Amino acid sequence: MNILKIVYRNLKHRKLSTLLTIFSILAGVALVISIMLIKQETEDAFNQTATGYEIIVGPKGSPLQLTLSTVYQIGFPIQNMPLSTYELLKNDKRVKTAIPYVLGDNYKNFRFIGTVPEIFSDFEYKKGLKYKLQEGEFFSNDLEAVIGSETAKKTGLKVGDLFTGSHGIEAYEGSDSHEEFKFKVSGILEQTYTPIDRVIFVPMTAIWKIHSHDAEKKAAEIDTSVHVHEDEISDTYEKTITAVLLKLRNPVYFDLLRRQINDNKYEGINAQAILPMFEIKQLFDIIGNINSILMVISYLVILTGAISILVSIYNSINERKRDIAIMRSLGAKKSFIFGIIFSEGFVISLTGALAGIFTAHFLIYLFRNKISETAGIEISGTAYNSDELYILAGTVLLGLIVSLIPAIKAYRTDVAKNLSPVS
Amino acid sequence: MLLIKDLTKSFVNSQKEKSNIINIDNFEINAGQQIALNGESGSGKTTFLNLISGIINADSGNIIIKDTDITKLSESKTDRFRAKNIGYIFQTFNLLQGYTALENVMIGMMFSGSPDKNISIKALDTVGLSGKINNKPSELSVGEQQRVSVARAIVNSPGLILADEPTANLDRANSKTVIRLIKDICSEKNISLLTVTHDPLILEQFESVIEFSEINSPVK
Repeated sequence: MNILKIVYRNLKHRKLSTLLTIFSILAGVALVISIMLIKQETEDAFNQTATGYEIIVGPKGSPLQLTLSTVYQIGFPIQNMPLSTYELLKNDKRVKTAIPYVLGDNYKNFRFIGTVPEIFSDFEYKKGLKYKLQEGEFFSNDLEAVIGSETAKKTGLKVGDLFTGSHGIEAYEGSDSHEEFKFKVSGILEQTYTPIDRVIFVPMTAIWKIHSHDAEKKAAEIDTSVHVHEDEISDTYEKTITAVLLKLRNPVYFDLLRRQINDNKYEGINAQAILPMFEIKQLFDIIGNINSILMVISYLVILTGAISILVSIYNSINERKRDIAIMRSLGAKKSFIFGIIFSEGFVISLTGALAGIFTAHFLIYLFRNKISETAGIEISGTAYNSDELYILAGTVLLGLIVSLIPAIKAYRTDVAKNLSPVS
Repeated sequence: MLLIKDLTKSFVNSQKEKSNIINIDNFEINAGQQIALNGESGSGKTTFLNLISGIINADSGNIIIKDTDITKLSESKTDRFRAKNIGYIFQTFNLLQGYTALENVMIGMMFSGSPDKNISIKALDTVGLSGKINNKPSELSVGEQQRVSVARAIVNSPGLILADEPTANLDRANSKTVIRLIKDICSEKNISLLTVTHDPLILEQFESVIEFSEINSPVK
């Protein structure tokens, strides 16, 4: 028989109250840790993904929209811009790599990115990392496609399979499918843990060909004299792109080139040049404010849990006055009684905090795929934040502080009065 | 063993008037002596026992147990002294309901040093409860519950046992058995016993019976 056993027996004796109090602490801690971890993982993943994209040139409009639609495949692209933008930038001596993006079609919600083969040979999606194939080959003709690892997994497409794209970056009821143009899967990419895992790369000429054909078909329905080209792009079709990814030969060109484009001083280009990392930082500054509010709410939940420790133990003191008096009559010091009650607060807050941390990690791990899909990035669900220790320590400290009140009440229990038969 | 001199204790009543309850000039119990104090309800007998055990503090006077004046000790030292030297048997047994008979006895040992399971089992065996050491108070009869409280009182081999109406909640048969048990154990272990009661059945079992009113003269 020792103090720990007495504490355990006391808590066990009030099982329901103890469990509910532990749960209230658990809920608060789990909320705080979940919000903290999701923010950390999301921010890390967003930043990691953005590192490969130095500058994006796209149509004028929201820089954040351009970043999200180009880098993270979230939301709609702004507009299209002339192909000449890509050609001018490609031939700019300051530019090391220029990769065009043409968005617009999808297959079962997996977006098509029309681009050039250089995306596989020259583009580093993260520092020192280029796209690699787990199977097959990169595309070499118009109706071949290289699909991301997640696309392959979710759609079941394999190398050699044929599929047809639909109009629009997202599938919707009644969307036109381009039945005449069947793509063949030429290769499947290795997993990159970026949104690219969920895209379908096709030659940009294929996108133009499909859309040129569609436009001619529609025109022919009205005017029978219009000739519908089957295998080539109509001369009248305006070739446009959605964005251009740029890597510069030297970082010193960054500001100059960006200002040149943004200030409309780059001849032949009417667009905007953005730094995705900067846009993401701004996005997280905004999210940070919302996050702070959520954190405040979560801390309030922890505080409520702490108050429930106070209420639970404080109320139990009234029921336990006789037991306290008995122990005192047997020789228990006041400090021992104080220690029992204080330890109960410690055990409840520690158990609640540890269970909360475990629950947060478990829930994030359980819902990592859903979070990944929603945020457009890959999260591991196994991240750890050193602040968790502070939250653990803070919660236990709070539990101890609130336990002081019932502990003092127990300490002051009138022994003689509570031993008497009438009490 | 126990020597009391010029002991006084007063309480402030609900009308905020000071009321003297205990006023004892001299009282003594020798080692191994067994005394029954007879007195009416409300005469201050329980207060007297609480003063001897140090549960409440005297206003003045000396309570000397085994050459230690407990009125001079700090609260924590009094607690420690009580745990080692005084066994207390209550009218309402005062057992911890969430604990087994064995645990109740072991808790009695806990505050005097380290609880010893074997000694606790032996104490329960002495009171005839070796077969019910793992029963909780609610699973025991009232007679058995009082036996557990006797085992708890003797487990530390104290020099003095204070028994406050120990049979008040027991039937006649159980009363006789329990008081016999307490007396026998005290005789065997040379423990001084001070019992307060107004039950004639108990009083007749003591050779030394003192009227509480003879030793206590509260100031009106």
